[in-house]
Amino acid sequence: MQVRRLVRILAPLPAFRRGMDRLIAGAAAEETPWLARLRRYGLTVLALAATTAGFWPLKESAGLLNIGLVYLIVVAGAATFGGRGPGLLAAGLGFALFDFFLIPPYLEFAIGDLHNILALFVFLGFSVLISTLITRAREAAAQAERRATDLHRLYALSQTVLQTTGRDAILAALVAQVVDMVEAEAGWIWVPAADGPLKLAAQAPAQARAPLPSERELAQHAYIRAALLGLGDGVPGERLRPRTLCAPLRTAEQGWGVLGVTAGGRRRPFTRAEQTVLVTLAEQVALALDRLALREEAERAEVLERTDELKSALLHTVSHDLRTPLASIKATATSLLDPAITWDSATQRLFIQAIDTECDRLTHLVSDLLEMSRIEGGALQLTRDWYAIGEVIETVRERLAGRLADHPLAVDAPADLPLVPLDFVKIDAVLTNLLENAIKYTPPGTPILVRAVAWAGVLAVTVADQGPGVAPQHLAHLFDKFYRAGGRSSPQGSGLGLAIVKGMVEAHGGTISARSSAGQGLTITFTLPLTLAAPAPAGAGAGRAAPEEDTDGR
Amino acid sequence: MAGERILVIEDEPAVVQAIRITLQGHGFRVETAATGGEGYAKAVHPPPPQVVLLDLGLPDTDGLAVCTQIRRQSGVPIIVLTARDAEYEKISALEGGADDYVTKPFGMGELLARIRVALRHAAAGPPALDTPTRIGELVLDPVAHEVTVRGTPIHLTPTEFKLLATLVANAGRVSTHQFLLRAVWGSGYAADTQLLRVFMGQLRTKIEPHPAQPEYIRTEPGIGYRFRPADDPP
Repeated sequence: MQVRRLVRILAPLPAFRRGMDRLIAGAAAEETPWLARLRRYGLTVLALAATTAGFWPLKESAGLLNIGLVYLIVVAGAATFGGRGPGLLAAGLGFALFDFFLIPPYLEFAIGDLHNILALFVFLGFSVLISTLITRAREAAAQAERRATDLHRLYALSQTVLQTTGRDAILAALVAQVVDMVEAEAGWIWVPAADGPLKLAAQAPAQARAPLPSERELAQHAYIRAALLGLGDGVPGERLRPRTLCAPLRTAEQGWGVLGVTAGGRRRPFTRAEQTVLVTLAEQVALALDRLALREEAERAEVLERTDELKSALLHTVSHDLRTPLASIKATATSLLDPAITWDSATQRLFIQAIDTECDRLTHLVSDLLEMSRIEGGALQLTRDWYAIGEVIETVRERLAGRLADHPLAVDAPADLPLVPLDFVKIDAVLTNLLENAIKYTPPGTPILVRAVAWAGVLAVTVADQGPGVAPQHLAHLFDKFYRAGGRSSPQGSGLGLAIVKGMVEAHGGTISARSSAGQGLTITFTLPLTLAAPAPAGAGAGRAAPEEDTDGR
Repeated sequence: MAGERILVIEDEPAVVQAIRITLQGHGFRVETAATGGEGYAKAVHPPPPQVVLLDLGLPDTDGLAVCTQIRRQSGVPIIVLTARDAEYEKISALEGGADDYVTKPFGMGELLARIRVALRHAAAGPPALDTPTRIGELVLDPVAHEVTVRGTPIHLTPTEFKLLATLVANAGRVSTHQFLLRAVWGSGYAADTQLLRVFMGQLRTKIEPHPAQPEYIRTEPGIGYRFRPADDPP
């Protein structure tokens, strides 16, 4: 007997699907070894023999009707527990035994009495009817059970798609479920690549072996021919016993790829029933992929829409902010140019000053926009060197001295703080911006505190004012572009200041956060890593916690 | 026409300064208000202004609401100043009682011209129905139902004549599509801008020396039309 590997098409998919319902009845039988089948037939024969033997001594007195009824019970039993084959066997053999042993003349098939002939055929008719009805009920029950299992599997696969995010994770979860359901050693999902052969997209279990070249080829064939294909040991001319199966993942809409499972070396080859189950599962995985594609499309559309909304909001703000100083300049310049009026030099000076101020405002806005786009485009260049933070704070304090006249500034930066690698100009801009905000949004006379502490690998700098503070709902958006917290509206600002501050701090590998409670002022803390390497996020978090405790005690 | 009171409701100090000084230079008396509330109070309480300039982007209230409030109390001409380019805002303002609008950034010459047109319309009262109107080289005689351009009689259909008469009566001011449709065809036609476009095309062909570059009937994109003001230099 020559054994060899072979690739054979079990069935083109649609035909296979149509054949499935018919296969089901036989499925249970096929799953059982032939010995079990023999036992069911044997038991049927034994039961009939016992019945016949039991009635032999009583054949004269028991009455044909009673004997026939007992035979019917045996037929019903055989059909119920054995299935269609044993049921029909019981009907036929029962008919023969009944006639031969228990109907006179005994020990021959001939029947003397016409009544007895009638009774015998009524018995035969009843037997066949009962065994058919019972078998049908069995089949219906088996089918219902299979549908329930199908539904359960479909539900499980759908849940997987719903509860998992990310296409790769979903594919992995689907193939893992299929491997579990058909008790395979390993499973794979291949998806079509942009061009060329299928590529492996998911496998289960995670440490499963890579598919063999022959298995990859099988998948490729299954995809192209849209058919269930098997690979295994078999003898030419006999039924294939596949150890690897590849089912196409197809819906009416689209081919999504191929689902493959292998029995491996340890378990028996896949039975026809398991092949059937795999086809069903493949269809359900394909449907799940359909739904996934729809969901992804909807999500993409939503993201696009949100980006679009954001963009138009930004455009609206930017165009408004740019146009306001332009309107002032235009109005002032056209006033100066009015041919009907000759302006005295004081008025001319007033107009020109206004134009100058508005130009500065426009310049500030445009450079903020440029800085922001540099930060967002990742084009922000840092020139870092080792500095004492106290030096930066003093530089800013000197520059802002005039504007700080109304706000007593307390600086708490111990001389023994470690040096920190920073871009002086950028951190100067950060501190300037934070202090200017504190000056702008707090009433004259309220103090401002700048404090620096070293903590868990970072330097934390806090700027705290004692102004009206920021409501919690605005606090979360404080560092957003063009966000102007209610009550903090400033017609002079670009709406970009804090967003730029955040960008510059983050470019240093630091973090920034704000804290405020009603009437207690606003506290903004930023951290800078004390080493040049980017700090671990945990260290940054710890650095944020420390100064907040400090400011609580103030 | 010097000495009229102009109320400027605007929050941008630099714009207010330019308007105030320039209007004063042209002999107007100027009141200013930085918020909608203050502006409304100054608009409806004596001494009343002759023209209100109203910025639609006020910090405290919606400029449109202020416009509607003032119009409920007073017939003073309102010219809205808007930095926003949304056409529907201008239309809403015009529907809400504004007489005209100026889009920021605007030149002082444009603003002065709008103020003069508003003052003239307010002073003239309802358009005279029995005397011919002359604008540039176009003369419209409402009694004789006659129109001449450079002395040449122009034949107009009754609808074209009505449309032209409506535009001329509002010369210098913007006439929205809806206003023209209601005035000429009736309120049932207010949305029928196609109709207006067809008749406007015919009218321009008949009265404009160069219909492609109209000098009498100018288009206000998205809003309506503006007939050349009477004092416009030819």
